[in-house]
Amino acid sequence: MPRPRRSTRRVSKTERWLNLLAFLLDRHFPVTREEILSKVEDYCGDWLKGTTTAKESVRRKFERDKRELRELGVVIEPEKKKVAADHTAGEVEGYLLRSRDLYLPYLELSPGPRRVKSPYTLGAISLKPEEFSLLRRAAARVVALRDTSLGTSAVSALRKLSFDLPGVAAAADETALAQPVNPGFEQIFKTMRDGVERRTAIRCRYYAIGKDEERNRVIEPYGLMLSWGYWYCVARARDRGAMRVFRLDRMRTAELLADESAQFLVPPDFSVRNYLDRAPWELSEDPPVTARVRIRFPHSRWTIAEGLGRVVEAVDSEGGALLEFDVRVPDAFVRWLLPFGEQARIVEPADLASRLAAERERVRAVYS
Amino acid sequence: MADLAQNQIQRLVELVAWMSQRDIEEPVSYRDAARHLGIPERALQEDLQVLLDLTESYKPWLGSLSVALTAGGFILGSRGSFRRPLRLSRDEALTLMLGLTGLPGGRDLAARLGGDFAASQDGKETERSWAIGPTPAERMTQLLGLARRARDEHRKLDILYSASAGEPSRRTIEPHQLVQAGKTWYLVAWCEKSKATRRFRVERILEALLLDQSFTPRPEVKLVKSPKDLLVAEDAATATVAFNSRISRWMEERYPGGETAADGRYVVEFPVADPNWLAREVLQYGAEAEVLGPEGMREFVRGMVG
Repeated sequence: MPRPRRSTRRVSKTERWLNLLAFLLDRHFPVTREEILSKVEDYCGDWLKGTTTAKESVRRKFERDKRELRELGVVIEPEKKKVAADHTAGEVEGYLLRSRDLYLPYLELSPGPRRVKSPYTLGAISLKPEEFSLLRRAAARVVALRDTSLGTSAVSALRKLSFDLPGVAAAADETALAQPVNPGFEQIFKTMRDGVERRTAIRCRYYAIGKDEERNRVIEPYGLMLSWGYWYCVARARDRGAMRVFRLDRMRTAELLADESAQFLVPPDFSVRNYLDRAPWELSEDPPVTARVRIRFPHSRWTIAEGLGRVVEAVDSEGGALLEFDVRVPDAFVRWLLPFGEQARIVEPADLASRLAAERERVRAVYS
Repeated sequence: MADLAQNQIQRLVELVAWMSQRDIEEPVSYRDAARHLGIPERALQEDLQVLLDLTESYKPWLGSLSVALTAGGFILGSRGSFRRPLRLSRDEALTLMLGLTGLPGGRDLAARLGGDFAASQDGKETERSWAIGPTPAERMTQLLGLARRARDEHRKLDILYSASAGEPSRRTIEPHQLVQAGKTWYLVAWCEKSKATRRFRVERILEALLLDQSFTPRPEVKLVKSPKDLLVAEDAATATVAFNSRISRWMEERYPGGETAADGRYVVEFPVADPNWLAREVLQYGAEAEVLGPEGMREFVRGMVG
């Protein structure tokens, strides 16, 4: 095999990674780090110079590449068993990149045509027709991530799956629309995500619409969820010593804390799913107040179909229904009821009914 | 830039894999390839340039790679490495888990497709700290299932629909699309009664029956592609709404394109296909929002609060 030439041409990181992956794939037995660094272009130039400084620099570059490739799902780590090497008397670590550790497994529809030939020895994941439908629905759901820092990954994941399953990518016949987001949203989302994944507290400036005030808060973000078209962070608010739910589009700024107090532990029984199917007036850990609301037909049917509230009387004498709601955030509940107009009446508690009446009066005053 | 290289290598491997898998050896145009990969043409050309710039030094894998530029586009193929996409990255697996988890049966499929990530501690942490919802209620799930079946099998649906105004009416519809906007699901269908595309809110379908009659999908059905499409209708009007200065900053971000009036309020125009929609949209802000006109809609919103 011809020896690699030393080159002064600048090799891009993409090219170096392609070379590294192809070099490893081409070998079916573990290769030593010495061999990798002395043969793969962009490592070998400095490595073969032989100075201690140059070699150390190449070693660091290799370690950095391994770390960044790992984020792509490509794991380049030494085999457990050491191998003999030409450059040293003892046994050293050897690297082996198997096709199955690099490439997407084959995805097959079952029953469907069998693969006739394949260039690689890869595993296959067989999907039933109903699972294929499920995947299409999931594809429609992840489209809602497009305005977040996960948007690119959502699109590329679906494209990879559609390599073997062409019809799986999000189709026009089912889609999820996200609420428009403000220009600073992506940065806020990224910070919140970092906080959740690194278990690091966040200082944010938050607008509470119910109190109509903007305040600095320090929160421990436990989870993120997309619900009712908005992104929420479920967090422990340090100033209250209690769980609170924050809407990301109401955060003006957010930054990770960097001091010793930044780290926190998430209780083992926490799951963001416990908050996911709550209505906005249930998004708090304050004790709930039970509200009874009489809703006229057809609003009553719509509300029941949406699974909101508990039915006390399915059909009353007027064709409507009496429903019960657990209200933890009264302001959100009143705002939800306001557009019902006279179609909804709070039967109890009286103070919540007064609050709705007062809010209606304020609206009437605007239009008088 | 690590991020740039990470994105580029994924795209390149995918490009080589896609081109290698094609049966035909005709050149593909930049435009078609860019559309297929969902990337700008410029990014595609930059990626190709990386392949063209590969070093002249000996590498076995380059021997199996062929790249040729033609007048109409390019030809690319590999007989060796990179004939399949790379495994899902952590973030890709995460998005897939997010999409699948929460759907009935989705968790098992997420575990199989998510590979090592789904099985890892990291994956388990993701499952308890990330979620997409809300989960449709049981009645909604049944209706959505029926609508999907009608759409996929091209069968007509007989529905009893309760619109915002008037008595519920029975219609025969041809379902073409399901759209989720927040907690609301819309069924976009051809309505035989009105002989036009109609958007039905799924929670307002009081009864639904899958018919044996089939239909041929209609190209004239207007599918929803963005939130503003939900506001478009043949008889849409324009309403002007003013938001109090206290919430104007948030409203500017939510409804861009408006203007700040002399009194500090943020004034924006909305296309309105359904006055009930306008009333719901405006009244959620209570007395902080006011419909300025036209008078009919102003009156309508005022009437909603009694």
